[in-house]
This record gives sequence, C-alpha cells and structure tokens, in this order.
Amino acid sequence: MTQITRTGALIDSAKPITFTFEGKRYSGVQGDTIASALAANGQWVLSRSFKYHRPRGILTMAGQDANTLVQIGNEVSVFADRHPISEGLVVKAQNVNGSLEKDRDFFMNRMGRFMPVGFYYRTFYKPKGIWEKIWEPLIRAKAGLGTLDINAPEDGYHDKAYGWYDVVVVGAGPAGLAAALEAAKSGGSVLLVDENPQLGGAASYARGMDAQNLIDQVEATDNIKIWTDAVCNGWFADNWLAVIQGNRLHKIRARQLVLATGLIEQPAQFRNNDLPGIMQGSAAQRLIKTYGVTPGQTAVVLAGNDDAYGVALDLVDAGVSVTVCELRKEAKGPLQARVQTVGLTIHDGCCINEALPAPGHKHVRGVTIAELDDAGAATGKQRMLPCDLVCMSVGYTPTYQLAVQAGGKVGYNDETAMFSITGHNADVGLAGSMDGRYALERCVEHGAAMGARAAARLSEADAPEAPDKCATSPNYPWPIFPHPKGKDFVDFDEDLQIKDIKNAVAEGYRELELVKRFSTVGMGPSQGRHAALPTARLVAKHSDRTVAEVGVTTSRPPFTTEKIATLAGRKFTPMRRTPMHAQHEAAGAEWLLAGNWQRPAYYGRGSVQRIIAAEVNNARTNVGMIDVSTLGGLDVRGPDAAEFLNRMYTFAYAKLPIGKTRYLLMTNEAGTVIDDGVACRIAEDYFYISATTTGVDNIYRNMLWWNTQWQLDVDIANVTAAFAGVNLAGPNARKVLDKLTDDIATDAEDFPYLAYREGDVAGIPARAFRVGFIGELGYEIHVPARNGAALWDAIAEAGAEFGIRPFGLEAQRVMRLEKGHVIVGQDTDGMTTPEELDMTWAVAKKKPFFVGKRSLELRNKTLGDRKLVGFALDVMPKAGLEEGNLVIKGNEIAGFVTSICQSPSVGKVIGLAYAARSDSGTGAKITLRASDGSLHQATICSPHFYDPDNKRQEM
Amino acid sequence: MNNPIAQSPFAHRLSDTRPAVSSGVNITDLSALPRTGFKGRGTSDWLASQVATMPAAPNRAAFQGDGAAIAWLGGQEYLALPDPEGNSTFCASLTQAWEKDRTSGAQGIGFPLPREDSHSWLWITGTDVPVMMAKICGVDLRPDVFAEENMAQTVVARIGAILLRRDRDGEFGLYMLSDFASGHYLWDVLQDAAAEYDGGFV
Repeated sequence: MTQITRTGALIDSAKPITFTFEGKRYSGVQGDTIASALAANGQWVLSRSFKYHRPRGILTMAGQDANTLVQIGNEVSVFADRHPISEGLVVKAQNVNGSLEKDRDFFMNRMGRFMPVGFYYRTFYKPKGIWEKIWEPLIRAKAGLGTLDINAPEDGYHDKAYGWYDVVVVGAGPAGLAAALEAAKSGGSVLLVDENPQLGGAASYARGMDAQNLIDQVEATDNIKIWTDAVCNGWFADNWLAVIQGNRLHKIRARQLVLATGLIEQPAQFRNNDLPGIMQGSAAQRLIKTYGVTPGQTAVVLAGNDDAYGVALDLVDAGVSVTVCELRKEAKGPLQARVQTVGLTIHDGCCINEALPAPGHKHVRGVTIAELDDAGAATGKQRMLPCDLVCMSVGYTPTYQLAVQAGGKVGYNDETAMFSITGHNADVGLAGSMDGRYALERCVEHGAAMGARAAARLSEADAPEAPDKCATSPNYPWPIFPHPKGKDFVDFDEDLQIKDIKNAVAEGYRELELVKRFSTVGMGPSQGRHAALPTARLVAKHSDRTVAEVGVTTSRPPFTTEKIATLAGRKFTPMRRTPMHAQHEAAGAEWLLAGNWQRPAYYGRGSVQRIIAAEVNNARTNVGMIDVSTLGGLDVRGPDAAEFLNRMYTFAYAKLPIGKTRYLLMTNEAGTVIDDGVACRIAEDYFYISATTTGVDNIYRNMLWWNTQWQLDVDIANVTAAFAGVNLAGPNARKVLDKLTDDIATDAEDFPYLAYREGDVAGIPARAFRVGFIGELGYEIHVPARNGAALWDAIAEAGAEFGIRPFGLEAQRVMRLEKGHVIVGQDTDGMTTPEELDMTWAVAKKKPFFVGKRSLELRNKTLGDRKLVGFALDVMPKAGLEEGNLVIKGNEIAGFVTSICQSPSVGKVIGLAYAARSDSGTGAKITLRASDGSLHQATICSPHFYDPDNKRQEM
Repeated sequence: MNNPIAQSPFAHRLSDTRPAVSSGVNITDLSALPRTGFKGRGTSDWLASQVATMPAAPNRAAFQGDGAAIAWLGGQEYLALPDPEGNSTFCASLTQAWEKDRTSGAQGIGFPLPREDSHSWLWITGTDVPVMMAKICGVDLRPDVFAEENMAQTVVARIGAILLRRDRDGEFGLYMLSDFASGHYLWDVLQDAAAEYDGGFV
C-alpha cells in the first residue's frame, strides 16, 4: 500500500524524493525519514534480528531501538527512523544472509532451544582448538551489524568544538521549553538541546498537547540558543556535556543543567511481540502526526494507561479501525470516555497473549487476546482479533541515563509503579515527566520551576517551590505475559526472551548486573532502553524480591550510538619544521620524524644505501652540512648556573673556562642515563646547553622540578625553537667558515676542538662551537631561528666551490656509529648506567652530589651482567641484521643490537649491542640472531671504529 | 656581507593569504615585528622601573600609552609586545636598557628571552573569532568573559600558545603567540578552522 498524499508536521508532500532500499526504488517526500518513507510505501520490514534473523520493523520511531538500524554507504548502524532521506540515497539492510525479504538464516528462528541463555559460555571452547578453527571464523562471518570497508576514505568532515553556557537544558518538550524560558530570565546564556528535528517533545505528536506558545516564546528569546538534531550523549564531572550535532562533537560546560529528557515508552512482552506492525503507541502517533503515515488499517491498542486512548483516537482520526485491549479492569480517564463515545470496542481486563504472524513473519495479521486472572496472568479465555497494527501503551521509564551519569539513583515503587531519581549532582535539575510530572500543565509548571532554580543557583538566590509529582502512574505494573512457546521478547537487540531471564536467575545470577553479563541483556545498540525494566521485573519475580530491591543497571555514556569519526574529530597532529625546511625540500629531502620534528633522512632519489654512502663520503673527504636546529637548546643563567649544572649532570662544570664546551651526561635518580648534550660556557653565570631532540622538553621540566626544590639562583629558559643550527663538518669545513666570518678566528689554535666562540657568521650573530659528533673537523653554528634559512643558504653558497653537500640524519647516524658515539634512547634503555657505556670518564666522582650519584654508587658495587660493546662482521648476512635483533649466549638472551650499519668508511658491518660482560673483550665472538631466526657470529671490537685517536675531529 | 633576511615562520605560506573579510575571521602575521621577554629573579622590579604600567595580576597585560603591551606570564616572567600598528621602539628600548644596566654591573634584573625567534605572533580579529577558536582551544574566549587585557597560556590544537585579548578597530581580537617551529602546522590549523567563517590569513 502506497500512501500518495500525506500531511505531517515535518514533511512537504509537494517535494518528492527518490531513494533506494535493498536495491528497490522508493518515493518519499522532503522531511521523511527512511523509516517513514518506507512505511508510507508499505515496506514495514527494515531489518533482521541479531540471533534468529526475524523480520523487524518500526518500534519507536524515535531512534531508540536496533530494529531500524540500516547501512548507508560505508556508514553502518544508522537509525532509519531518524535519518532523513535525500535524492538518490542508497540504503541497505544489515545482518542479512541473502536478502531482507528472504533471509537464509531465518531457520535460526527454530533453533532457539539449542541456544539457551549463556550457551556460548559452555559451547565454544571445547574440544581444544575448536574455537580458532570452527567457531571464531563462523561467528565472525555471521556477526556484526553492517559491513565496513576499512579501506574506504573517511566520509565527511568531523570536528569538535568547546562551548560554555550558564544553563543548558536537555530536552525541548514542554518542561524543557518552560525551563529554558525561565532560566533565560536571569539574562545568562541558555542552550536548549533536543535530539529531534523539531521542538515540542511529546507535544509534537501526543494527543491533546500543544506547546506552540512555549516554542514561540523560546524562539523569540535572544539569549536562548536552540540546537535541534543534537543529542547530549554524556554527562561528565562538572557538567561537562558531550553534545553531538551533525558531524560535530560539542564539549559543553554548563554552570547549571536542567534535564527534561522525558520518558521512554516501554513495550509489553507477549509471544511474537516483535513482528513488524507491532509498535509503541507513541510510534504510531509520530507516524501519523509528524510524517502523515497511516500505520495500518485495523489496529488493536494494548492499553495499560490513559495515553492509550489518545493513541486510539488518533488512529480513528487517521481512518484506522480500532479495538482496545485494556489491561486494567477499571480503566479511568477522560480520553477513555471519548473513545466510548466514538463506539470503539474495549476489552477490559485482557492482555495480548500472542501476536499472529503473516507468512514469513513479515507482518502481524492478528492477535489472540486473553482475559487476565486476578494475579494479572493470561487465562484460557481467549479470542482472536484480526489486525495489521498493534499499538502498545503500557508504560514508560524516565529517560534517566544522563541523570544517572550525573550521580543519580533510579528508584521504583512497586506499589505505585512510579519511578524516582535521586542523589544526582546538585547543579543538575530534573524537570517534567522524567521526574513524575506527567500531566501537561504540571509538566510545564515543573519545567518553569526547575529553570528558575537553575537561574537562582547562578546567583546563589533561593530557588522557588516545585509542584508535586502526579499521583497516578502511567505505568502498568506487569505487562509481561509469558507464552509456553516463547518468542516473547524482553530484549529485541539480543533476541532474549522471558525464559532467558528466568533461566539466568535459575542459574544463580540473582543480581541484575550479573544477569546482564550472563545473558547480554541490555548490551545491544538500544543499551537496555526497553529491556532494563522488564528484566528488572522478571529478576525481581524470580528471585522473590521487589523491583525496588533489584534496582536497574548502571547507565554510562554514551546515551545513544556515536560514530568513531565523531570521537576522533578533526585530526590534530602537530609537526615542527626547522627554518631551513624549504631548503631541504628544494634539495630533495626524504623526511623522517624525530619526535614531532620533520628532519631530512637523506637527499635525492635512488638507492638509499648509495645515497647515504655518498653523503658520508663527502663529509669524510670533503665537507658536508646538516641541519641540527632540532637539537634541544637551554639557556641556564644566574649566579648558581655552574652549581645547577653540577647537580643536574654527572660531569663537573664549576671550573669549565668561559669559551669552552664540555660533554653533558644526565642520569635520573636511579642512576640510569637519560640524556646527553654539550654545555657551552658563555659567561661566568651563563651556560648555553644542548639536549637531545626528543628529550629536551622532559629535561626542561625536570630541571624546573629540581630547582623548585633546590631554589638555586638560576634561570632556565628553553630556547630550542629560537635557534637554528647547522653542523658544518669535514676536512674543508674550516675553509668554508673562513669565507663567512671575520669575527671568528677559525684556525685550530684560536678555535680549538671543544671551544666556543661568538661572532657574526654570514652577517648573522652566531654561537659557534667545535664538536665532533661525526668525527671530522666540525663547527656547530647556531643563529636566531628567523635567520636559519639565510645561514643555510650562505653556507651552501660559500661551500659550493668545495663541493659541499647537505647530509641527512641517516648519514649522521652512520658516521656517529663509526665513531662509536651513543645515541641516548637508541643505545640506552631504562637500565643503562654510564659504566655499561664505558662512559665513567663523564662521571665526576668527587662531586658531593648529582642526580643519580647515590644510586650509581650502589649499582657500581655489583655490576650488571651486560655491557655495550662494539662488534663487526665482514659482510651483512643474507637474512639481514637489524636493530633489536637478539644477542644469544647458549640458550639465553644476553642482550640485543642497538645500532648497526654497513659502514662506508670502515668497509664492514659495524654495530653496538648489549652483550654478556664476559664476552665484552676485544676479539671475543658473540652470536646474533636475525629476524628470521638464523644465527650469525660477530667479533667484538672497539666501538671507535673510525679514527680512534680522534685526530680528524681535533685538527 | 649582505644583510641576512629574517623570515617569519609563515614566510612560505604568504601566497595562501586572502583579502580581509568584513567580519568573520582575519588572521594577520605579526611575526616580523619586534617582541621580547624577560624572566628571572628581579624581573618584576626592574621592568616596573622601565614602563608606565605593569599588569595587575598574572595572566593579565598592561597596555602602555603607545599601545605596547607588557604581559605577565607568571612569577617573574613577562612578555613585551609593541603596538603592531604603531612605530614603537618599545622592545628595542627595553633591550637596550637591560644591556646598559647589566653592563654597569646590575644583578637580579632578570634575563632577556628571544621571543622573536621562539614564538610566532598572529593577530586574529573579527566577530567570529571566539566561536572559531572554540574549535581548537578549550578556553572560554567569549567577549564578555575574556575581557581586554586578559591572557591565557593554553593549548591550541595541541600546541602551546599564549592568547591575549587585543581588539582591533572595535572588533574582537586576540594576539596569539605560539611555537616558532610549528608555524606551518598552525597555518593549516587556522586556515581550516577559519574557513567556516570565510576567514583566513590576510
């Protein structure tokens, strides 16, 4: 049946839209959701259930249940009853084997007895190995909601934004509207959030409710910001709210929060209560009022409260033939009287015992109703009523999730079937029906009172009185009618029936949280919105307790589904560049990341090994230049600067002359090596020190932390980004520098190895020092960052006549390894001591104190079994050796390779490794295990593979 | 020797600029302008002897008569910024005064910091700046909350930043000083965030 002309609050019938569902074209109109448009076309089956592959359709029309989850493109689990249609939209059903109409796995519907509650705990693990071979592949193939192409590009732009409001009101029903209006009178900023596309909440579809006046006032109030289609998905400490609107996650701080989230209508439990065509009364009203869809031709309304009669009258107005099955024997209320005046049949004191399926379970074709006995159970007095629509109006739970996240506890009075929420955060107010004010006038009055309370709390004024809760509950206390043949679903998401909950209790799981874990009730996409209450009722019954004693399960964020893309948001990946980045790019740099710095690995294309070897050879035999701007830089100034360095580092600095540099080695309190660098003494009270690229921020924090305790008269400034640095190295380095400076004498006598000088280089004020990290005559030149590019260009130009070439980090690593210089972090680990590195020369033992001194003294009394050694092999084995490969001694792991390379200068494979101390003597053999498991002998040798006398760097 | 060119960290992106928009978000690179800082024991007293007005509290700035700003970062640490639209010698004068005092043997007057090289400097102006910044920064920068002279040392798009409220021609404005080496990254972040408001670097 296709409904051609429709009138509804959200649709425009004059604007047709065509889309496809399961490959078939459908017409809807602007404003339709996928579900409403399909319903208007007579397509009621939207999905197949999780376990039994039963056809499922509209239940709530409110995006609250898994029945309407569909797939759109590469986005899975989209609520069809929330997502609007658009021209050309392609929608597919999920969890289907074959087609939605003919699902091959529907046979599972008859396999229920083989899958009792908790069966998976007993089934899939034996015999040994069956899980990996049989069950896991099978379950993985069968499981899942939708199919995700993990190689597909990210769909859409997602981001996040912060927001700050004096008052946030969640829920724009009558109570929320009234609360927002009243809160806005304070003059503060108010945000009104509602997950629906329109304001009004239940008043937008329920009979006899009108909130238009409130809506008009809210829309005319300047300091109320209105967000529709926005869901508050979580409450966190200090009223931090996660609000998702479209592709943006808003991180909102609210000084005061009013929750007016209303009620969630609950289904009744009877056999086949999941058939398409069986829905909440409110779902039918939403279809009629909002989308102009008539949900059936012949309806049975299961009434457990007076709202059912509003549903019945709305159906009558929509041209539906209606019969009422009234659970209560003495139903009262004004709407029931109206129903009687229009001549509807009401079967008092009856329940639905069973819904009868059309072929293939595609729709409901009728119900069997049964008279209830005094205990509220179905009797044998039954009759069949043909119908194509069943509306359930038997009660509600408060939408308590956010309130519970805010610390609230849900209470239940078994005698009155009323809920209460108490104990939530004091800066959170509950308004309207979720707090027991059901009648429209009372609801609005309560909303206003809670809005005024929020405003009063902003200014610490007295809050006004709130109206009392309503005396009559809309909740029928026991709408649960077990059937001997089962399929009376408690949890539609997980295909759990009444007997499953009963059996879970019988297994000994009396507590609700345990029942949940054993049965998986409430663990599906609906998160127990419809299953929590009947589960609590059943557990109470079968454990001889009250619902109040059993309680409800905890509710945690998120309230409803949220995309991982929403949580990820726009990616922020900070990346630092040196001032010479453009120069490197122009020279064809291949990049690597050092911390978050982009550094040239090498320059050019082709054989990486050959490029690196060429860069090494040019620096060794001629002159090269490398950008060292990423090295950490710290200014340490003040009268106590030398004392401060003495305490922070292992070496001694008090007597370091001005104009000299000295190696820095830092240990932590445990005596473990954590950083190294160079200290340049600029003045008596001024040191410029370097630290490792990736370590400097921690070292800086470390220094501040220590000096907070020491209170030395010293100032520490992290100037890493403020300086650009170039290391000019090679036999011709002096000639190049000579061309660039008149201020600095470059000869070995005036500017010897380890000296520090200042002066203009290329017209730029520079700090220059002689260092030998790569083992050649070298000058490290530091200039203000703004001038880094100019310095680089000037050196390149001056060095052109000598064939200067830039070299990258890879060549630098090779050259430092040829010299046997360790890289802290690569050649050290969380246990390394200076002794293991053979660097006790850098530890001033006579100093009274440095960080780690006491630990080192203790550790040195009993040396560890390992030592960092140099090793060499004549050729690289075919299997290859790489950093991290193990050093094997007998059947034990003696250590691992920390650095290894094919040395262009030495002509061998050289490396550093932790090996057994007993094997650390020159000439000893160690066994290295390659990644493929093959073993290879290496010979221990001095780690100073190249120019061991340091003549080249000191020239 | 030729006079070397000092480059803003945004120098290579200037072709991406666009004309200023009437409101929205306009981002101006001030990195080529002078700026300095002072830090260490005695800085507060020394600085107070050099400028007309000192900030009343940490995370506040004091604007001098010529539009230059002294911003109190906390403890004994300050940032000095000239008026971007003036021709101020504010920073140069402070630097010279410090060197003169230091040369004459003064102790306990703090130490200068190379802010021209450690931090880029942007002026982000326009009515949509607070809502744009809310996408990349967790500090409430709404005009009625983050008043003129207010300052925040915070994180913007995962990098450290100093934000100082400084309006421009009656429109909301922020000075933003951030890691010099992260200029390229910051450019992309701000262009992306401002695009929603038809804004960007001008």
